[in-house]
Amino acid sequence: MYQIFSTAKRPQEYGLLNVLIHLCVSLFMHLKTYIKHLNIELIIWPLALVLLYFMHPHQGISLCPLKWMGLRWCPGCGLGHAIHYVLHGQWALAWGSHPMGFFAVPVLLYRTLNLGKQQLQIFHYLKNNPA
Amino acid sequence: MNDLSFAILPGVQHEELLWLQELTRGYTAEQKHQFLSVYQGRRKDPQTILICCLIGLIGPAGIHRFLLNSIGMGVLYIFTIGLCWIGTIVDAINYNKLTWEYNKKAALESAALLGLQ
Repeated sequence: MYQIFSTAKRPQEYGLLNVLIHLCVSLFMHLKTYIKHLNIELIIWPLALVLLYFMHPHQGISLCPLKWMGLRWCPGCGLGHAIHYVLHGQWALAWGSHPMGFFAVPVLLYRTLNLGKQQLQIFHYLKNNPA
Repeated sequence: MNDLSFAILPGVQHEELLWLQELTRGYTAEQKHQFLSVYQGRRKDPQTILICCLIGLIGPAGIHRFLLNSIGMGVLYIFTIGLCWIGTIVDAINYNKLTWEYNKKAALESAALLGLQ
């Protein structure tokens, strides 16, 4: 009686484990294809805008790789400050830091929205045609 | 049906190859040939984009953005040397996707030009 019970139960348990493993693997593969198709620009631009919004100009670290390398000045110097001031609505300070700040914010936002739209289309396509 | 007819395109990626095969599935051999010749002229080589992007590290940045028809980003890059190198580095990493984004549009345009689709 016990033997029948145990043999009856074991394959079921095994099956459940198998299903779980299969689920995990397929989920991982799905995530991998999604991550592979994710455009890093879609992460970088919003991240930069959010960081610049919360960073305080003239204190803390700089985001500029050229400054890290020890360069004193480049044509883009002050752009980060300008974006910060534009996002906070301080127009005069923004213009004084870098006039391109007024141009940079809408361009980056437009690019982000455009990329987001494309990304949704790609994910929709992946959902319908799992590779 | 020659499945490798798009493999002659320079620097073609697996994803692009599959996508083009999918697009031209219903075409006759002649239509496929026409499509290929139009698309070949409109397509951008990923390698060109990478080289133009890397010029941005030592000279004028954003040439690749002008080539890829995103004028706003191009102007922004050229006046700030690629957003202080950050944009240039991002694009150098991402050049394949960037080019494919443009080429996808070019392929659809070529198909529309020939009245296919």
